[in-house]
Amino acid sequence: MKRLLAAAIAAIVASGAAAQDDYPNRAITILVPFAPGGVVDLASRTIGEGLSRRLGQEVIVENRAGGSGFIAATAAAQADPDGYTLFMGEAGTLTINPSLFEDTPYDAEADFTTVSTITDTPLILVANKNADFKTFEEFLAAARAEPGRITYSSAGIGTLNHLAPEWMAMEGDLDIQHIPYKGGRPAATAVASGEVDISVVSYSSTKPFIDSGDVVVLATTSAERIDPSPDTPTMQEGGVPNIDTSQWTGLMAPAGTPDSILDMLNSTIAEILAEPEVAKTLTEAGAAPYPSSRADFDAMLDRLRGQFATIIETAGISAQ
Amino acid sequence: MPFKMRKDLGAGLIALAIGIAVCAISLTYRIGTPARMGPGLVPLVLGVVLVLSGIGAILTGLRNQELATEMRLRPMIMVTLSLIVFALTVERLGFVPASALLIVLSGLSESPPNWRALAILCVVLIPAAYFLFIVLLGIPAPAFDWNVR
Amino acid sequence: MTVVDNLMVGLETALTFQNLIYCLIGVTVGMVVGVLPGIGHLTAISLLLPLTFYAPVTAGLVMLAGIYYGAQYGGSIASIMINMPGTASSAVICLDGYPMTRQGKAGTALIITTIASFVGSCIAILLLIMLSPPLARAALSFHSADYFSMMALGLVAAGTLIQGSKFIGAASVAVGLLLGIVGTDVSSGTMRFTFGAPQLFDGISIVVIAMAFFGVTEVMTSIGRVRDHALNAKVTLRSMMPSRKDLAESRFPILRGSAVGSAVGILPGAGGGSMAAFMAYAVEKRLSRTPEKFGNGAIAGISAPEAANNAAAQSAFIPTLTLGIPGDAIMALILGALLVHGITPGPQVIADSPELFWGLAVSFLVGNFILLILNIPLMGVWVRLLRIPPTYLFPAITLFIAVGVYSVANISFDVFLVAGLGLIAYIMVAFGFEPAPLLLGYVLGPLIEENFRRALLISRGDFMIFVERPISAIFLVLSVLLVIWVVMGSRTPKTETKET
Repeated sequence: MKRLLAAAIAAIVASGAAAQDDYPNRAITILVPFAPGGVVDLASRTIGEGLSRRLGQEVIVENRAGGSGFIAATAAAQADPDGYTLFMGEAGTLTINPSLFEDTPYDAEADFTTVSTITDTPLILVANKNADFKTFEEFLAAARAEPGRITYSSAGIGTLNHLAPEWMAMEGDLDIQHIPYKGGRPAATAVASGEVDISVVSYSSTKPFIDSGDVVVLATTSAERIDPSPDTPTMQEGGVPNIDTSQWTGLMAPAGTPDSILDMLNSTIAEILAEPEVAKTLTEAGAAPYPSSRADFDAMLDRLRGQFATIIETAGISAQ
Repeated sequence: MPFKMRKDLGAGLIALAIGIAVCAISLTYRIGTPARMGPGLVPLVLGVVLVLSGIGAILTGLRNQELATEMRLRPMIMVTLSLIVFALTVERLGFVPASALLIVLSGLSESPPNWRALAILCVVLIPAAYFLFIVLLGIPAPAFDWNVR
Repeated sequence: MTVVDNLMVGLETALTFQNLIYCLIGVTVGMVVGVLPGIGHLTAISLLLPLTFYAPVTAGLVMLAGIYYGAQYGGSIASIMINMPGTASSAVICLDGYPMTRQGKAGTALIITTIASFVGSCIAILLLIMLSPPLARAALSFHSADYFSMMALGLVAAGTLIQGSKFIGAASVAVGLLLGIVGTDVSSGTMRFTFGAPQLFDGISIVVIAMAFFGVTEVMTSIGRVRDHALNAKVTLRSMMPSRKDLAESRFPILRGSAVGSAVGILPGAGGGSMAAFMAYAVEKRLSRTPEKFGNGAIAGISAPEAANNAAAQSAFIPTLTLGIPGDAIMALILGALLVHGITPGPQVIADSPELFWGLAVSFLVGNFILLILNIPLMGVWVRLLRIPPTYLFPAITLFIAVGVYSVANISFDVFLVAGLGLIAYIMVAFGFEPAPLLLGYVLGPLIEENFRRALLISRGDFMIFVERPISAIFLVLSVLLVIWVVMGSRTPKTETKET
């Protein structure tokens, strides 16, 4: 609370100096909680480049990987709320960490305010080609017939590939066993090799295995059918209610950043995401451009935080 | 030479010390069962390996008189110090002063220090390193700064 | 895709201007550090690792690999000229290379080793191109149990190669494994040995470990030492022209050395170049009709080991890139570089990133051509590098360590860590701990544990899973045989002279 107050005062002082009118008048930094490479980094660089082009100021993308995103998120949470420090968040740092960890050095809800969502990567449920089920319905029947038999791979404890199947298990009343891997690629390879039965993975990272026939696609975790694979049913269609999640990235600012700056950034980002070149860069990495209003982004964060808290508690997941 | 500088004996004591510390810390983690192994099992096993190999080395060390490679105290202190001072100053004073301090401190490893060489290094190396790391690679560190917090 | 298609992809990637430049930088830097005694290629690659994080992944790896095989070329120059191996793997070259220099045949020795390096590399690269795709396809069906057993063999092999006390060797590997598991446990999410520092949640960066054990240690050992060695021989272009007889005498040794080197390089944990070079030397000495010439400037004594260590440097990439299992400390660093770029090494790399794999393979060929062409006119320059005074070298390296470590995550924490770990590393190495198996252990540690626990999680605690899967069983049997062989071998009294 003290920090919020200080932030508010700082914001008023800053606005008094007419900082908002000529924003930006110096370089903007986007803090990224991951190492270079990967969708979050790519989203940051693409948006950074676009902002720099449209606002005429340099945009520095600073990778501060590590500590489950703690390091970058904490640095961003403590930065001056003047619009010159932004933070590229995703499901983990903004919606999962608060429930996963007993104690985080930043407050994902109170320390940040939304700017705009940037990208969206749909997730799909796939099964090994030799599994005794070929559709989502058959999978549900098999999982209910022998509780605890079916194994699923994830990219690690508390990742979206871990929580999405747990969500499915919770809503669909299933008992499936978690086998963690280190990263999304090994998790996908494990389904292809038949070491595990199923996995929730991003469509883009699994495409080689779908094309080669090593895995079959059962369903998508999005609320609506997804563009790259329109014939795949959603989990909701398949009879497991409420499931609606994907891998997204979204730009945040420290709490207390003036609304005028946030709104200006939001509309500029919407314009950048509409550029064909930008859309092409992102789509090639399997991420669709995902502009949104700040209110929609807020609502999504609220919904997911509550949802993940329930899943993590129900499944008894914890990181110490 | 004091006996603590004997090679196998010293190495054994180091391994033993690390091993005991590792075992103690590992026991605070869950050990688990084969089907659901806890995070403590593997470090515990490695700690035991260290303790055993430490004891083995100490026993050979009782017979083997071979001495450890002579350690050079001056470089040990100065090089470590130069890195610590760099870490302390790079964000507070900036890249250029931090680098200069590092070069001079590590140069003090030599006795007597070759001041001319260190001066040349400061003049030539720091701009080159600044160009390579800060300008070319974009590492976010200021050349000069003053924010002692 | 056929081999030709693959090579076309590779050519397109390797011959872009950017990758050519990175290749040129890599091999040149490799040559320089290879020549300079005191900076091994492990030190050099450790120092330059952070730089590659800023390059695109293919370019970065092209450069790293270039440093590695460039240093293999350069290493033999110091061996031949001043009887001091620039890198560990060229230690054998001293045996016959320096005698040749004293006989006034330095130029011949230098050119023969250059040719041997080139031929050895090319043969191993062809092997890499032919063997990797089928191996990767087979590896797609490997399970956690198989990976565990393969890596166990690698660690056992690395352990058996340790020269000094077996106890200290085992402790070195254990310390490496422990350093590797610092951070978040994959299987449970528990933070281990992090002492509450979020900077350690993802583990200690490979750059910090490598810089501490190969950078700081090296600096503390060598800073402020006066280097005294005689550099008398002059090398002119004319003296480098090999005679017809020299070429004829080295033809078969080069081919045999290439074969030995390629085979040894593929083995996990075989320690790369130095083991290959020693084996090739032993083979030549045994086959020679004039074994008494060895040690007195036998041309086969430099050509075979030189071909072998370069071949091993290239074929070591086969298990690293197709299985994600590094054979030695350098491959562990290459693996670390891939991970930092977000690429999980493993059988999917060839399918996922064909331009990375084939571009890298073709860049090896390009790099070796560059080295061959570069070396003949520039040999004089390389030889002169031997005169750089250490007073200038080591403060510069220290700065490079600090900035390099800082640049990985832009936090000073890592610099404090490298200072502390570096000091500990120096003391440990002085007492006989071995940094190379330690680094291999550091990279393999989390992988071994993860695969071991996962295999048992899937088998629900049944240890038979390691024997029931045929691939896993084969590698476990090999590991056990290796251990038995070493134990039996150490019992029979050795007649060979002891290492000093």
